[in-house]
Amino acid sequence: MTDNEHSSRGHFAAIVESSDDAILSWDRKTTITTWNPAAERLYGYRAAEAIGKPISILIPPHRAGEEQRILERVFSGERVDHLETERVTMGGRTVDVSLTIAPIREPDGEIGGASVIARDITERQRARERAERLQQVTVELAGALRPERTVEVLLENALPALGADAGAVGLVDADSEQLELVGSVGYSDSVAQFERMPLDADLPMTEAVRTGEALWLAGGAELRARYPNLTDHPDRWASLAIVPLVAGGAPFGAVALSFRETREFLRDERAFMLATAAQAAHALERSRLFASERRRREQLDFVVEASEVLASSLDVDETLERLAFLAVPRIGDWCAIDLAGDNGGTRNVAVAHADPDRLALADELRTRYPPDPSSPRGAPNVIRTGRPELFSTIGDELIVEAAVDGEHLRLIRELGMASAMVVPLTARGRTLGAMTLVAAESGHHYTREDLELAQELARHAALAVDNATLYGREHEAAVTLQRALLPASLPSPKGTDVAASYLPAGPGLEIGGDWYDLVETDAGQVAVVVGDVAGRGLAAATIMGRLRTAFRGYMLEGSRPAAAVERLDALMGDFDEASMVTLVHLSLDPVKRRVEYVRAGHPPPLIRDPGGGVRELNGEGSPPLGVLRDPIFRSSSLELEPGSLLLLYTDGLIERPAESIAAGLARLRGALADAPESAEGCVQRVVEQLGAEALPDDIAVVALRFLGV
Amino acid sequence: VAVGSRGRDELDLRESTAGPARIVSVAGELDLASSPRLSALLDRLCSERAALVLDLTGCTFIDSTGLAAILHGARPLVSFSVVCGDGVPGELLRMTAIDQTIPVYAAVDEALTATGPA
Repeated sequence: MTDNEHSSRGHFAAIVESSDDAILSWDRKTTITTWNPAAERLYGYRAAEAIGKPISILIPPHRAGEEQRILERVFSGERVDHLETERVTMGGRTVDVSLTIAPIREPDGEIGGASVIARDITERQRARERAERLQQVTVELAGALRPERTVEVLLENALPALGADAGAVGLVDADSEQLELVGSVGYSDSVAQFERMPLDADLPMTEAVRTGEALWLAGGAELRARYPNLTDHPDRWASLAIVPLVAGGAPFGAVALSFRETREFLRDERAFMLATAAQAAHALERSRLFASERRRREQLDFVVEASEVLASSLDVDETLERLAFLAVPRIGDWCAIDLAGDNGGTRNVAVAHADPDRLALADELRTRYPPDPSSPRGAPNVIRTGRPELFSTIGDELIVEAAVDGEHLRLIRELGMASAMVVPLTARGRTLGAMTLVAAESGHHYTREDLELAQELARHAALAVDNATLYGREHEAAVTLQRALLPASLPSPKGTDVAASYLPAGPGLEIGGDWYDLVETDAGQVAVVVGDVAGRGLAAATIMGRLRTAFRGYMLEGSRPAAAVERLDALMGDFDEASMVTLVHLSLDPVKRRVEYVRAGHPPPLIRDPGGGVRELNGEGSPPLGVLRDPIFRSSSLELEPGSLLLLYTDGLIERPAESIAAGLARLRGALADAPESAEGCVQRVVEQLGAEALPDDIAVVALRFLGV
Repeated sequence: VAVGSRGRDELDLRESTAGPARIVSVAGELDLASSPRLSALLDRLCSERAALVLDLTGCTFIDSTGLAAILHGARPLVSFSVVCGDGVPGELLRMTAIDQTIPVYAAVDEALTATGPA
């Protein structure tokens, strides 16, 4: 060996000594022959411990076959470049390494062993795994619509990626201002104490949510110094990583990872966690939007359906009972509805419970312990102020405070009252009552969103109640008026057989303005009128009343038919309210057997001859009353044989949708032809036969049979 | 006093002009629910002092409130005529003898010719 060679070898040895890469060699028998300090750092063996040992001490059992393949290549003179594989340390830990193995030739040219350069690529490997994991998380979360699944994916991936021992996800409940744990793995049962953390609590997760900044707490001492609350916690974690979940710039939750070992967080690990948390936050935000959109749609459907149900009744108590049963169990486990009573008191009108067995209990509570009118909260206060109340969480202490006595307390506790809301029933600026909704068994805590739904429902209900009340008043007044105005009984003039009937429009509809009247004059004439005031409700009924009274006077005075009608038309000109009337008025002189009649804008009366033939009395048609400037009313007349029957009616009897007047008249003619002989029989028959399928309109019918004198 | 067959507003009102005359075409059901709209339209046209032709050809149903709306609306007009075919409106105008007071024509052209120089 030359000096030159010596110097070169010394130089080389120094490089090997100071290399960051592990450099070692083995001989023909694969016995380790050299071992640099970097090899000691990587594998844990000191040079003295490694040299003389077989290289197989570094090869993990599951890679045992690898050695043979390497040997074959080395002894055939080939190099092995950048073989990424695993090796095992003296401590038994597996490390990822990249190996470059080159044959060593003896001076005779024979291959006598190999040199190995090993680089620790554990961290590189981890980084690659994390990158793959991040990609996987992205893919998995893209399909996750349920928030539970998002939380699952987040924890499943974050824990192994950072080698954490436990992890949890918390989301903010906006109503209660708490951070609620929605998922956790690896913690002991003591994690239960963190299930709901007030947002202002001095804890790592709540701090991350408040600040929107991630927390990387590397050591147990640092952790406990900063969060004294965690000092006596049984899970004594050494390191913590907390990353907030942020959507639209606002943190709404956090993911926490806990480590038993004290560890630093590499830049690459932090980047992974931030990226994963961002992905999860997007997915959670998306599910929230999706869920709230679906909820809004469902709620809209519910309100639409509810308002139809509510509007279909015109009875106040029935409407409120329907409301109570609509609200339960959809937005409450039980529900009570109170109406404003006298002296600031309330009147309970409906109670509903999701569980029929417990309805009696709820009923008992409301009847035995009606709300105190002076109470600063609850139904009396809501009725007083018109403003809703929301009690997200009702603790037992609040129940104890509210209870009047032991029995009251027992009832409330038995029914349960975890959360409650009271909404006003307000229509046209007036608060009629209040609806109290209680969540008990369901364990639901009412939110602002629930309150909005309840208010929406209450608004519809209040309108329905208001309508029912108004309708009730007007309908009652109009029916009373109309009944009072129609003759209680008809006279039975000599030589005639008369009958009449009045049918109000169907239930739920306003009263109309039809009327009839029949008088016998001093001169022995029989005067009949059937009239129809256009329009509905109290207004039409009132006009009808004035007209009927006036016309009765004209008839009793013995006015000729055309003159009586003309006087009525003139009277209408003096009315403040424009209206229109159609009528048929006739006057029968039994002695002369003569009928004189006016048909003013009205369907023709019918006559049935003694032989049974039925015809229309169209006569000289005259226009309706109350609409023309100078109308001319003409009368017509006819001889009447004994046994003939005259039928007068209003259009409700013949009008049908999508049918001509002629068709309606033909049907009536047919019914009358087959009707019994008596006036009463005829009225009954035509009403039965034609009234059933009539439009929702009122109907007046009068039959006059001339017997002869 | 009948309500329309379905009790809701099924009325289509259209206005057009032919020379000095205004034409109002009524289609659908003229009843308690819809007649206030016709009344409002006729009220407005009254102030224009134009000759009015009310075309009821497309009208399928008229109840007494509809009839009242037509008659009350027509009262202050200088020139008012109605156009209708053989359907329910024509029947009703004949039955109520309104055709004896208000000119009724079978077509809009006829009504316009009769109303005066276009």
